[in-house]
Amino acid sequence: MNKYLKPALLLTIIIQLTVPTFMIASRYYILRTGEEYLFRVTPIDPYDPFRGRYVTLNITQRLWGQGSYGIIEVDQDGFATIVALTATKPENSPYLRSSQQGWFTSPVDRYYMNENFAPEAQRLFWQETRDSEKEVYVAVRIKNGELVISGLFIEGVAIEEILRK
Amino acid sequence: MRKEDWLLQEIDNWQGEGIINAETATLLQQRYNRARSFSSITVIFAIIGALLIGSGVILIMARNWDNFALPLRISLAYLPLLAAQALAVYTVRHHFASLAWREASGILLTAGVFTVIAMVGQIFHLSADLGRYLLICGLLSLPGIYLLDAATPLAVYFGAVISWASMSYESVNVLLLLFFLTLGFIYSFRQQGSGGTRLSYIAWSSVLAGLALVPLLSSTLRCSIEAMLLCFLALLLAGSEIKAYLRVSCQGVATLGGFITLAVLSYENSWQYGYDLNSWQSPVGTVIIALLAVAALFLTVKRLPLKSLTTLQVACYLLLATLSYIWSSMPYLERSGAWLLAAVANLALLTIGVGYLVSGVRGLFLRQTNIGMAYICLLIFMRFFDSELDFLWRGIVFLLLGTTFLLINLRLVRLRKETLLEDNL
Repeated sequence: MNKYLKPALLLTIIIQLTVPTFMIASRYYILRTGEEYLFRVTPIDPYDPFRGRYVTLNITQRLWGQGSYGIIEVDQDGFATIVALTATKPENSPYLRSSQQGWFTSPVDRYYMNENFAPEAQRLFWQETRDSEKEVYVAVRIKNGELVISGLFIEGVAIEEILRK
Repeated sequence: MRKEDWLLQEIDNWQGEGIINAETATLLQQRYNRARSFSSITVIFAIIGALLIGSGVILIMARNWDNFALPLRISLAYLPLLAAQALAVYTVRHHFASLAWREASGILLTAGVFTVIAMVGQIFHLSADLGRYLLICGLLSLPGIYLLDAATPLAVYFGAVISWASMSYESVNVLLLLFFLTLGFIYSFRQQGSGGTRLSYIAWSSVLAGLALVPLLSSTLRCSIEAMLLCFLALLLAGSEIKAYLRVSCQGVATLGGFITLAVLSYENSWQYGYDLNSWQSPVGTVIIALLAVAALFLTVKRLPLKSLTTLQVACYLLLATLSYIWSSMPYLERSGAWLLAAVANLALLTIGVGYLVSGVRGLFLRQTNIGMAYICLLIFMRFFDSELDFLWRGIVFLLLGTTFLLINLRLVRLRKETLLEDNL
């Protein structure tokens, strides 16, 4: 057996554990220290072959154009919107970094749910929002332009809680 | 070392020392080889069982996933990877000689990596970038292929990086893919031996990955797909003699792929209305085509006899590749003489077909004879229903072909008579 095999295996194990740990730590840090914003969303329910069922979210309100940074403004109801795109990092206003280079692609695009709950959530969204003015929104934490979703709500109640009832 | 392996080694020693004779040694080897293969099946079944139990646990956990607190979900996400890593360490320490253990650990380690990254993405609702996900997982799984000397994760790795490149569709990424794929190809060329299912499996994975790469490279780098494909197929043919286990996959893919490509090029319209890359043929793509062609030429000159059927095929592929490249560089409106190029492609098909037929009949190789017959029959079928050709021209071509065949047949009959006469004398 090659004498480098065991150290190389150890190094591989460390790298394989470091990558997900880094992914978790960076998101956990944003959840702990980031500023909270609420974005109105229109959800639909598709499927990811690896990660399961999710609800698609769209927060950009058909905002297209060049620029990797979306400038955030909060309206009088407390909901955030992306009002402009810029190619350089904004200094004095809250912003969101695009998940793609060069043009703006919203980093908020999916909310994973239980296999059984996602279609039910979809039905609920349409039912609740069709005849009424009920607010469907996603709560996110943002730190230095990076974002982590903390929950999906209808009129202030978490979607999981509504579905459990 | 397992006890069966030790015993088999000992039987060799006993025979060498004259304690037992060859017959007894063979009997004992058969007996304990059977025991060894039985224990491998046991291992495979045990791993399939463990995978099924693991999947069952994951499904039950998934049912209650939403009820778990975030730290618990994060901890559970690591479990499949940690279990697979523990198994990999155990395999390296205690069962490295066993192919079944190495392959099973390798695929479990790959699955563990894919699972943990997917679960982290799911826990934190990370945005959709399937390509990047596949790339990260592919690269994290890559060392397992080398460390555990396992072939199955290689196929997964090839699939992951090619999918990433096809999704990202940027020339820089595709060039990076070329680099990443090379890391996998190095593994396949490191393998020793003259046969076996495992080596054949590695060869097929590598050849098919290379084939999938050609349309990606040519479309992203903007260069002639026909030229790149034919050069790649020529390289496969020329390289099929490097290692015995490469022969079937390389020759199979190169022969079938070459036939399909030449068949497409045998139509005048495919030349006439092909891509005009005059203003945007990429230099990088051109370099890659040139490298493939030079490598194919080098290997052919170095390893193949001048008058062999493979040399004839390589020459036909490279000739058509050169013509395709030049033609695609010509401005669309300045193109004339597409019929001539189509005629060259037809001639190339006919030459290869006749080459197979003659080689098969001479050497009494049924497979080659059948390939030659298939080539010629399909060529006749395509030209008979080719609406681009006038009836008169089709008639003349068929008359010429028929005459050629009768002449070849006459020559073969004479050769056979001469051989029989020589044998009788």
